[in-house]
Amino acid sequence: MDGEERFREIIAADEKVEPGDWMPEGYRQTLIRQIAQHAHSEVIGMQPEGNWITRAPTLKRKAILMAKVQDEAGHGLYLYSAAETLGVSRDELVRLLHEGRQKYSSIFNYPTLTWADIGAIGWLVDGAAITNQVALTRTSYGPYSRAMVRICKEESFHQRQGYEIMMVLARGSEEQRAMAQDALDRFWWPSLMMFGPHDSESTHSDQSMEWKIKPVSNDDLRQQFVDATVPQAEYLGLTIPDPDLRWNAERGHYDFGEIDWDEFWRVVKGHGPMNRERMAHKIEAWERGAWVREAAVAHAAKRTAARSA
Amino acid sequence: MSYSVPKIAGESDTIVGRTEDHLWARWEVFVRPRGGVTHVYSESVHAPDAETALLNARDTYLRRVEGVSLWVIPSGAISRWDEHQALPESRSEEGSARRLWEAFIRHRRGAQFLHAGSIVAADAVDAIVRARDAFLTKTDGVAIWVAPSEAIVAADPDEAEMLFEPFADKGYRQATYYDIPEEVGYM
Repeated sequence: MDGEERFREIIAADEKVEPGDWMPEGYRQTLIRQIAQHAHSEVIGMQPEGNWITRAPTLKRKAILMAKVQDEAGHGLYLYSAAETLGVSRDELVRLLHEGRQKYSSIFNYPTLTWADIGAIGWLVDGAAITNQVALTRTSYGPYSRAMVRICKEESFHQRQGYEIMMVLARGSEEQRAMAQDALDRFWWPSLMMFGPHDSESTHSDQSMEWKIKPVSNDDLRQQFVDATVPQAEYLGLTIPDPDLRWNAERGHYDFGEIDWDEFWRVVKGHGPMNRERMAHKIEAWERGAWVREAAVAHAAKRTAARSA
Repeated sequence: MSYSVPKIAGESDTIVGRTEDHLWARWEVFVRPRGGVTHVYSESVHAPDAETALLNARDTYLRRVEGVSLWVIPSGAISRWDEHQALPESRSEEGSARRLWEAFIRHRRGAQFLHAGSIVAADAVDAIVRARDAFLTKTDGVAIWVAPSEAIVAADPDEAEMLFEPFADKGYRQATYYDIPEEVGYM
């Protein structure tokens, strides 16, 4: 059996494609792009939350937030490691990000203005991410699927700590409630945008679904997220900023309003509130860390030389 | 996080695929889970030396209390075989210079490599053949990795407490630490 036939057989049988297997170049490229974008998102995602570590309201919240930001770094590394099995190096992917030739999720181009935003990110942004990632545990590429399983195990902590922050604020003073509502108002639509364009507009979806890289479509995932999240907002006594949101008994789902696609494209193309700051900070951190990376190599070489002397 | 970002002008179309431009070498990481009987492959890290590789592996793959033992192996020290490659039928002659190898097996697609055991062999191919004969039944082997035993760097058991315990008292890293009412659904 030739490689292409075997590949088709593996996909058809819902088995996993593994690094040594023959795969179409398009499959490899799509995976590299998607996994790299996912990895970059984890790494850039450290910035909006890192912004609040020094200002977390209690020592406990500070410890939790540090643990969460550390997890995001770890998730980025799992994903770079999965991408490397496709014959690309982590350093190359980092370079492509820095050159603006690869993207990260637009959600991180929004600022974190108040402490409630940290709650909203855990609840909504991680909630949306989990919806997507749980589906991706079934992706056809073995290393990507295993990275998703590992990440999903840790994401539950992220969403729960965020929702707990929202619970505390929602039960708090008038000002705290207002702060929680404001965070929901600002993060609701960008969270829905995380699932990407409509299926009818998404150029990547068909082929990705056929190869089973992406097992569930953008619109189906978005609906799942809305259905799960509306009761959570109701429990908090907060209002989702969408006048068209209502339960549709016939469909068994919530109907919701149209996303502002102009805003979506504006942010994707680099004109969101924080795009420049995020990239500038990332590149600066990489450049300022260069001496550490080089010193570690020099130290290792020196120790090797001392041992063999 | 999430990543359904549509492609836009200027975004890279194809990745050339350079794998050798790292300042820090790649190390493959194996973890023996708490209560586990064998070391399980945990993907890779980059590090300038073995000592840093162990620390990076700890910070990347053991941020909770999942492991009790950690191995790192330079990626280049591993020889890899899978179902697409032909393999000699017979082992090499007895009597040639032989040494100890560690074998790792992935028993089916989608599963992770597990440490299967040690074997004495003349070279990498011989080690793979012997690992196949020792650890696989006819149909169950999807892939085999072998590495010379001396290439494995294990975390010092005396330092296990220092390596693995700092996370033990950080209960807030676990989802169950947060009291979320049932009526809001699974989270």
